[in-house]
Amino acid sequence: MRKLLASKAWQRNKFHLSALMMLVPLPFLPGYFSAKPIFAPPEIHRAVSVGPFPITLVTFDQAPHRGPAGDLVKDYSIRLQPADLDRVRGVFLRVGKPRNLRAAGALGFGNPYEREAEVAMPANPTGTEELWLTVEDWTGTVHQTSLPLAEVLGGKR
Amino acid sequence: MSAGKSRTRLWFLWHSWLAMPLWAFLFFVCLTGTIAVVSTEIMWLVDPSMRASGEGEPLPPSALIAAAEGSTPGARVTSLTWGGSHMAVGARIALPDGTFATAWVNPVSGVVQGLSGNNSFRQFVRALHGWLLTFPVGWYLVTLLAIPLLGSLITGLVVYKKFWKSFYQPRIRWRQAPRVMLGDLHRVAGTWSIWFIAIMSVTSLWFLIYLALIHLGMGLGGGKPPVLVAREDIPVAATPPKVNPNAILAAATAALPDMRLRYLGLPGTAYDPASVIGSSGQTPLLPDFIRLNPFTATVIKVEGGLDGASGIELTRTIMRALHTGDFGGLPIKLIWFVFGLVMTTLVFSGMLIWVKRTARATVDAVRRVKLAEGSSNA
Repeated sequence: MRKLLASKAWQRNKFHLSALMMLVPLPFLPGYFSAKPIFAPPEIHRAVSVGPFPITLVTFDQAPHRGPAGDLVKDYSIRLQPADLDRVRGVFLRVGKPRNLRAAGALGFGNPYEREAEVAMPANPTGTEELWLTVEDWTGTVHQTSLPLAEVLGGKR
Repeated sequence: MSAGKSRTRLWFLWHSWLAMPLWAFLFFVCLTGTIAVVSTEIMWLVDPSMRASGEGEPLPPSALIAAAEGSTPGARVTSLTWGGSHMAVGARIALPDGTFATAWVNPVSGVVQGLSGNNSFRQFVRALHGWLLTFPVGWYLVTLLAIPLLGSLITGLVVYKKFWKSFYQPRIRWRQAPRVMLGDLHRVAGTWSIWFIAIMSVTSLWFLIYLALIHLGMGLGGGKPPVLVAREDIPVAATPPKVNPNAILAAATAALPDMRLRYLGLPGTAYDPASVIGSSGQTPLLPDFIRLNPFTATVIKVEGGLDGASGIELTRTIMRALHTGDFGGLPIKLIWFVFGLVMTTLVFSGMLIWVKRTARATVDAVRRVKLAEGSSNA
């Protein structure tokens, strides 16, 4: 008889189990409201000097992901010194040396204090690629430097 | 039982089973989605700093920008958003720590009435509704509901053969037993929201397919190269040239005179054009984008409407507009809100009907078992 009651309760209430789906957002609530995300992957920071401009390059320690067009991309944030904001007219990032200024790569955009660039990544990296940084100032002068991509690629190595 | 009748019973079983095991989740998604439609309006009701009276001569953008940049040290305005005469202008400001905030500026007095951070109520409800705060797993969980939703609509129409009667003879027997009343409510609400459920299930299905294709590495493409200011048009100077937002807005308004202004985006880098977004109403659902050279305040390109956009891009814009109801101002939003409530009621009443029917069926089943036990003991 008890078995029957239990089975009756199960029969009557099993369809309310989907309410458990509402628990899914709960663990993410604190992270959502905190300034620093709890589940954010570790970051890679690299200080580079491009001509007279010291830059900190920051990216997640994560493999490249697929962009909206299905291509492989990786996001970098570019931190300039606040004093340099009004001296720089553009920061570009590219894997491989740019042949000319027209193909300097992904333009950093967004918050001028912390520009973001979505850089196209090779599908099968050989490990010898270089990430090129191009900074152009308002006088039209171009400064370039490069660093091994492997240092700022992240993800499994 | 005739073959036709048993087939109807089968359709009816499908109709019951499609939504019932998921009802609470579907209810949650419908309810949060309904709230998300009017989330800006809810913020407006709660937060007086977002309000404006709509009376008086509005200030030019340069005054609003100066006010917003004066509110926080180091703040730089990246865009202004106009939500209607009842709303303060939202100035998006970039902050030195790399984050953004919104300064609400009174369009007439130029007073900064308040600041809100990046995590607004609106963003929260959208994230809760769209991906349960966890992307992309939550996105898949939510958008997968499109399949039972579409199934419920189709099977519902097959089961309720004379549904069109509910259009001209809506009947809800409020005074009858709850089970009868709920059945009537379910049928009438369902019939009146056929169009809405169809829109919601098709657009959600699109959101599912869209992300799945990206993750499978088969993105639909369709992205246009962004409009940029040509290098030779950028002035060479020791200090960056001043950008005149008033001249930019004037040039955009001259290009599309009957446009309802929604957005003015200022360039973040030397290569970014200034953008003005508005609705001219020439093509429903599709906003107009005007890209301008910020240094000379001349129009580079007018985008929008049907010309120039790829099919994928149009689909993306239209699907989003249809899903959110954000394409015709407050009246459309309110229609979406009301039908969102109707759809939420539909899920809840469907569950109640099932429970009442199942409860009765279960009681019957238990009685039969008891009788069988009693007779075997005798």
